[in-house]
Amino acid sequence: MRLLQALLYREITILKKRFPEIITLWIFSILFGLFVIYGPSVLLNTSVEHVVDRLSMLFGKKLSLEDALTLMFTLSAVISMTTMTMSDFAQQIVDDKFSGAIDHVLLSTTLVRYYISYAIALSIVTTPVATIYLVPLLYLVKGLGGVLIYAYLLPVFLLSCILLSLYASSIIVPLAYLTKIQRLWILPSIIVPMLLAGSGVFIPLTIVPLFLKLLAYTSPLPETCTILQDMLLRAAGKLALPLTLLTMLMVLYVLLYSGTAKIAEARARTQGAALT
Amino acid sequence: MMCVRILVRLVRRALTLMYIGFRLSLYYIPLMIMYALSAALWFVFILNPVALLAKSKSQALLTFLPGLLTAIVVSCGMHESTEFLRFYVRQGIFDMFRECGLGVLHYLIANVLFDIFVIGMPSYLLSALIVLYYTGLSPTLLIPHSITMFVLGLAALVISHILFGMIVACLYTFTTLSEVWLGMLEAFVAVCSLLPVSAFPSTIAGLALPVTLVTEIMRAAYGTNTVPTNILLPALALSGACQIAATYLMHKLCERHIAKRGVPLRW
Repeated sequence: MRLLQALLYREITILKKRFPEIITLWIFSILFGLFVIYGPSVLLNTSVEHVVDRLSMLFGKKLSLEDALTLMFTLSAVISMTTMTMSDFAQQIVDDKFSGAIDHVLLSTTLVRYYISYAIALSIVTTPVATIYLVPLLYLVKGLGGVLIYAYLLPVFLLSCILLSLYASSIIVPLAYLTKIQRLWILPSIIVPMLLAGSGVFIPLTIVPLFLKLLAYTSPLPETCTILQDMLLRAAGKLALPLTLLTMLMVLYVLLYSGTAKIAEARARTQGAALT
Repeated sequence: MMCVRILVRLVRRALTLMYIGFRLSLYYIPLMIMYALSAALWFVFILNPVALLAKSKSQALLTFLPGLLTAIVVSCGMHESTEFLRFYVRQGIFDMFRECGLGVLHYLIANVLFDIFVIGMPSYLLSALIVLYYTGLSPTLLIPHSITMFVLGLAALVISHILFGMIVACLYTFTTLSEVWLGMLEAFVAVCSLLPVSAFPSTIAGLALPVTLVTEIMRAAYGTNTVPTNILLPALALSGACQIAATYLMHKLCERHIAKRGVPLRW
């Protein structure tokens, strides 16, 4: 618990310094959401009504412009959340390893506990920060109902963020401690668009081609997007399958991460983390 | 005769710089591939919904793709300026360049072809092929109707790449703007690259922006331009001359400022 408190404190301190960067991420996410609806009309003289009709056809439910905007804005939060979680996790692991801070961490705890606590602390801080811009946006579109939608979806974002952190830890920890790759910080720049393109995000997952979906399926993102789409389109009965899959993924990540982190820790304790 | 001699000297110098850029870039090949792949995937991510929601998929693709190439290449130029003035200062490579009388402009010239052909074109082709697969359209769509316009577009892209790189270099040298603001500028340029001239309040406003003009010329190569070519070509000549003059002016200002005050080390 103290470890978690310490990590939470560190995350909040780091976050204050990164605030302008977070604002840029919000702007990017909002632009992406808006572009899906208004892009075809600005670029190709397609009417907004046509875009909304096509969206209704793709999702199999009649949508109004407000519904479509709510859906796109909410799904755009997946972009900011994924980018923040993956890049923060990679950056932290690189900093810990190359600054030698991990040697000090290992004096008081284990690698498994440290990064699992970090995944939870990061998710607790990142989820509201990455998605808070939705509150004014959804309020503008749907009034108070929009704010309620945000409150209703926040647990899904939190669960997804925890899973994403665990996913990041099961990939980046072994790469950082068991290989000699130096430029690990660039890894998120390729993983994030790959996961987003493979998860569909703004379109139903069924339309995404298999070769794009393959890598995305190793992450919790496709299921998260399905849950968000289903919850927003009021088909809550369909949530059982994606939730079961997410739980299975969580167990898989923890098992994968624990196994590799134990080997990494043994190596770090004998050789020193900064040298491995 | 004198003019020809100067021109030959300039071309020879530019080619030498490009060779240096090529040799330097070889050290960063994995990074370049990652960057090209990442750019392609980001565009696939955003282009797919737009292509699926538009009335005509092929028109959506051919209107959007030229903007993609412009956005990638110009943002490479903007990144390179900060890379030169930030990372290379830290690593000492900046000093080596200065000792040889070279500055940001030379570094941008050194990298421009590499950015277009190693980062821009592969990203362009990869994202186009993925979206073509998605939408079930034929890959022959990617062959430009007018090769001349496409080559002209690439030439204009070289000028815009260097211009925007110099704008960022000036902002970085003269102000204490954080990288976040430079990121915002990059986002603005990327959005403008994607917009057709018809989306602006007036045609002149659209054509005044170098990135919009470049994209429109590329679109003309595919026949999806919103401004006729008899307006585009004189606009390109005028804009090209203005861009070269502005780049040269900014280069001189930047060099004078760096010679006087140096470049502060920023993290």
